[in-house]
Amino acid sequence: METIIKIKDLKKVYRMGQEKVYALNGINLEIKKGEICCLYGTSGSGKTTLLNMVAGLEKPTKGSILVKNIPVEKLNEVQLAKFRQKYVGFIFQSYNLLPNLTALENVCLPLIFKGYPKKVREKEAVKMLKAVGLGDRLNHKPNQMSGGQQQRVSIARAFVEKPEIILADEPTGNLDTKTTIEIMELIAGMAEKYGQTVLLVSHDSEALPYADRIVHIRDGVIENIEEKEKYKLKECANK
Amino acid sequence: MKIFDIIRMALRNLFRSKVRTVLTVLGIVIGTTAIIIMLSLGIAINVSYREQMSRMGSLNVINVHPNYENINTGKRGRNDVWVEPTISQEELDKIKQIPNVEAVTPFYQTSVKMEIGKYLGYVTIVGIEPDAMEALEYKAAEGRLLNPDDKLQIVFGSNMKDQFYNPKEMRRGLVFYGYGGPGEEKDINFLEDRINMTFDMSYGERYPGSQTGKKPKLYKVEGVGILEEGNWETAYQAYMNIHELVKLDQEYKQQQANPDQKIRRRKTEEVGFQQAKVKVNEIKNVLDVQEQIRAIGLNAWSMAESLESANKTQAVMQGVLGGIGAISLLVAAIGIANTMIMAIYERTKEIGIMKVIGARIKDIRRLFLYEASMIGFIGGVIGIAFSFGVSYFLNTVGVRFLGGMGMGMGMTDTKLSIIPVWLALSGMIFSALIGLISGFFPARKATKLSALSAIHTE
Ligand SMILES: Nc1ncnc2c1ncn2[C@@H]1O[C@H](COP(=O)(O)OP(=O)(O)OP(=O)(O)O)[C@@H](O)[C@H]1O
Ligand SMILES: [Mg+2]
Repeated sequence: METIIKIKDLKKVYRMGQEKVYALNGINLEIKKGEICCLYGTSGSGKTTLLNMVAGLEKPTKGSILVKNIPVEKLNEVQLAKFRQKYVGFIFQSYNLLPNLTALENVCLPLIFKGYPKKVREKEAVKMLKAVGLGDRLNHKPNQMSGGQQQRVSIARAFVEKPEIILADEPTGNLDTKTTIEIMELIAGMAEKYGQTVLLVSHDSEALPYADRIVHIRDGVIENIEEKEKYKLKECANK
Repeated sequence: MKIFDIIRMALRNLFRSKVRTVLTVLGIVIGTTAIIIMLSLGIAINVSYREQMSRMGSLNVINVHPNYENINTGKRGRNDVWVEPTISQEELDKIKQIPNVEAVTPFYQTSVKMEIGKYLGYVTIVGIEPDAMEALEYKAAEGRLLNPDDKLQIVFGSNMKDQFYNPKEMRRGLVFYGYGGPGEEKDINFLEDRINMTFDMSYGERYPGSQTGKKPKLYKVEGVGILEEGNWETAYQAYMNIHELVKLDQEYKQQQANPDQKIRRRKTEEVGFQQAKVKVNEIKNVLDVQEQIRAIGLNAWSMAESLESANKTQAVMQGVLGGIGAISLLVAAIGIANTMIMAIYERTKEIGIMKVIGARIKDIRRLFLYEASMIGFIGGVIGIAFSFGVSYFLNTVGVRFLGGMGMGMGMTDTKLSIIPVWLALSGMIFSALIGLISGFFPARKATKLSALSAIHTE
């Protein structure tokens, strides 16, 4: 199975005055194409830090991250912007929709940045919103929607460009159990459909069954990696 | 990201904070209006000055006079009486040698009396080289200019009728001595009527002045042309072939001289001239030629020279007026920068999100630059429309007001403010540019924002 993300000896040290905080302390991890990988661990263990580094939002203190053989830590701002546009879709815990844009416009945004013509991008966005079950909320502003609905919009936004990698930081952190299951169904279903790789941070036990592998992190190091039956199946199928 | 999408997004963002946008635009409107109105005042002064100048003669003509300042070295006549200095033929020949000189003519000026039908007139008649007339930009409104073989043919200035009077009416006290003035329409047609001309100033009067007793000759002359209106210098003169005029004048002087005074008739080349005119091929050479004429020892004066010194003072004035306007535009530009920086603080999180979901650095930069230049551009357009309003107001109400105060100088079409198209267009471009420049620093700031920390701001 093809490796899409390769993390080698990754360290991140935050300096708070005299004190050093080892957010990540030597992470080695390979993520295969098409897998759903869940980062799991206590609060402050470094999950978000790891995810941000894969997206190039933060620079590591040491170590390297190869995404599709691109050394992310070496890219400059302009290259990073291109890299994100090309390969990465992001889903946040706090949705992060633009408050003055409608659901449709929010989903259109990544396509606008890509320079798609209006007709094409609106067609794509509508299709995506329908897929997440919001066909009747196209022209609602974020503050006119529930948390679950907003998260669906942000999922639609992350998937609309069909990026190869979806990074999701506690996408269900603010949602109830039932909605969590719905959202996870959605993410897993879409990823399966388009053959995307998902790197997910989650605390919710409801989310865990959707993962192929669960990476347990504690104090910036990987404690153990739990491989599910379907991960092995996937691996075999690809071989 | 497509330009069209950036513009749409920028407009949308401006519309979101309406009050702030309107206030910032207002600043630019005031700044643009101030600068345009100030410059338009200067332009109007310049234009009216040029108009006045062009009424006084052509720009590439130099007027040459004898040097009156050197009275001590001036010529001494008979009995040590100081004789008015004149320009000699020799000096004229030197002028002809100067490069870029197209034509030179001396002026031989004297007074004659003319009779047309029942009218009499005192006429200043100027002898001129006939073929220089065209070069010196004399233009005939009717008839033609002089030809080299003209002798008793005369070209009249546009307002010559004013010089004629009806002696009978004068005797009845209807007109002042000598001048008919404009007044009623006189039945004179210079080109058709028979015209008599004489050097005898008392001709036609009831009591002829004391003359030597010899009756001066009466010449039958022919009007062949009337000059165009609009030139003060030529309006009240008549023109004639210089060689003929010198000949007639010399004849007259000899005739009138005391028998014991032996006066020799002089040829054109021998008499001195009070004035000469020099036509230069191009305006840019005028000052240079003028210098060389001065080097010969003559006085030289040209419209081009006084226009240039006037231009310099006006450039300074324009600068001061424009500077006053520029200050208000500068304040407005700071207003734009302020608005944009405020917008960045407000939209920090948004910028972060856009960066994470795929906005390029240049998209973010362009978005802010477009917003800033749109404020500038919109302000500029409104400012120009407003300026035209203010300008119209100044040219109607303002002119009437000044006229009422006796400052309009009787010119009805005087404009206080002129906004040429180039000024309006450059005002528009300039204000957009001001916006762009003011947006530059904020836009840079926006691109430098770290996406991660931007997302975490609330
Ligand atoms: N910008 C920062 N400056 C200093 N320390 C930081 C910074 N960001 C993270 N940390 C520290 O790094 C460690 C890991 O943080 P991180 O956000 O990755 O945790 P997490 O696993 O995502 O926790 P949670 O589950 O609560 O979201 C924490 O101890 C945190 O205090
Ligand atoms: Mg976290």
